[in-house]
Amino acid sequence: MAIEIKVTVGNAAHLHVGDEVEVRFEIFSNGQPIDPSPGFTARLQSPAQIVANTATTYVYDADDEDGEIQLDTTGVFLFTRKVMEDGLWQGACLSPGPIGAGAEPFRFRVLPNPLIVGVPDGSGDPVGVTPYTLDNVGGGAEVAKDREGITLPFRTFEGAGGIDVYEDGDTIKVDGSGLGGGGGGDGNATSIQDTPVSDTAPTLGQVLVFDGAQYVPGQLSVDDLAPAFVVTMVGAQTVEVGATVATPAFTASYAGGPATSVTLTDSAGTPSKDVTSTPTSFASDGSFQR
Amino acid sequence: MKGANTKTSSVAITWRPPVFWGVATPSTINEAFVESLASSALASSRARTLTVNAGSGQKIYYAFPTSYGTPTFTIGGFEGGFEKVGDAISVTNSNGVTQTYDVWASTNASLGSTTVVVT
Repeated sequence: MAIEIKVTVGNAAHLHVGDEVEVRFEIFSNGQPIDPSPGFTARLQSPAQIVANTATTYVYDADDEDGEIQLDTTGVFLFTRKVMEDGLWQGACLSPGPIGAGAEPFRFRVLPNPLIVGVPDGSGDPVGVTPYTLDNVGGGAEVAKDREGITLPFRTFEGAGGIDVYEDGDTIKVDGSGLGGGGGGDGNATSIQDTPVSDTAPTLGQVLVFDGAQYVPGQLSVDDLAPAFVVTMVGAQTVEVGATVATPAFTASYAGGPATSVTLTDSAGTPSKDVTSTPTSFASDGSFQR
Repeated sequence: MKGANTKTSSVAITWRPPVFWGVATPSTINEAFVESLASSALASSRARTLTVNAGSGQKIYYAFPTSYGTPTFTIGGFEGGFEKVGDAISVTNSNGVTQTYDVWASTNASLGSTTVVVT
């Protein structure tokens, strides 16, 4: 009994990248269509040549068994383009796929490159094409592992803002040393807002204090927290032109207690006056006029 | 002990001339007129806000040292309405210091309660 298989490819003469092609399988026996139920087995000399319009396509023996194609619910049809003027249909595979009753539709995606397939031959080994096997080569996050017959969209790692990303053998390394400044632990802050930080190691209780040029470790004193002392003049400080301000009096307060030595001077040339004995209340010996 | 830790605190005494303002019936502008104005204050510039009440026939006057320059008067958001009526009037204060003053007066009299911004 001779069995023939017809494969009809819709719009085969106008295939383009991205097109979908509907393929219908019709199985005939002695010129009469048969109804392949699940588990049905058909045998055919291989390779069988199938012509879809101007394209010549071959059906290979997926089972690689006696040069025949075994059609059943776990079988594989592999269509490989041999001649196609548009050169777009690079092949396709169905695995597994039930065989419908002469009208079971299968849809193929036309690809710009040979379709990535893993074709089982009954023993589990690929036939005809090379399956893609992805092994995770690193010890970090697994991006792909033990997968076959899949399409991986590629992504690109790119550093920015002082972070450098580069490939080192099988490892993708992320280098943040270009960030500069800041950091803790083993980090090293050499500046704060462009003001240098001294590399002098602090001692217990010290804090960073700006010394006019850089931040240096230092012990806070009372003078750092409040003015060492404040002097207030008794009486008006703004007077009319020509007025004489004679021996003005002052009061003083000290944040850390009276100083050990207090001296009163002025810019008018009055001799300096030692007021250590009355550090909180004293008067100038001068008279001032403008 | 503070040792060589020396701290300094300063107090400044400032001498300023007075400026004079008030309302008056127009008359001869001289030192006596300037010193007769009701209000005065020690000032470092001409900038000031004057609040006065000019009765019938009275004008608003503002006198300040000539060195304080040319003022702009604003009343109710509108500039102007003043004119210089005394130029470099010598005024000697109680301390014996003489300075020249310019005297400005409102163009109109009888303005009532008025706020004048001088800049």
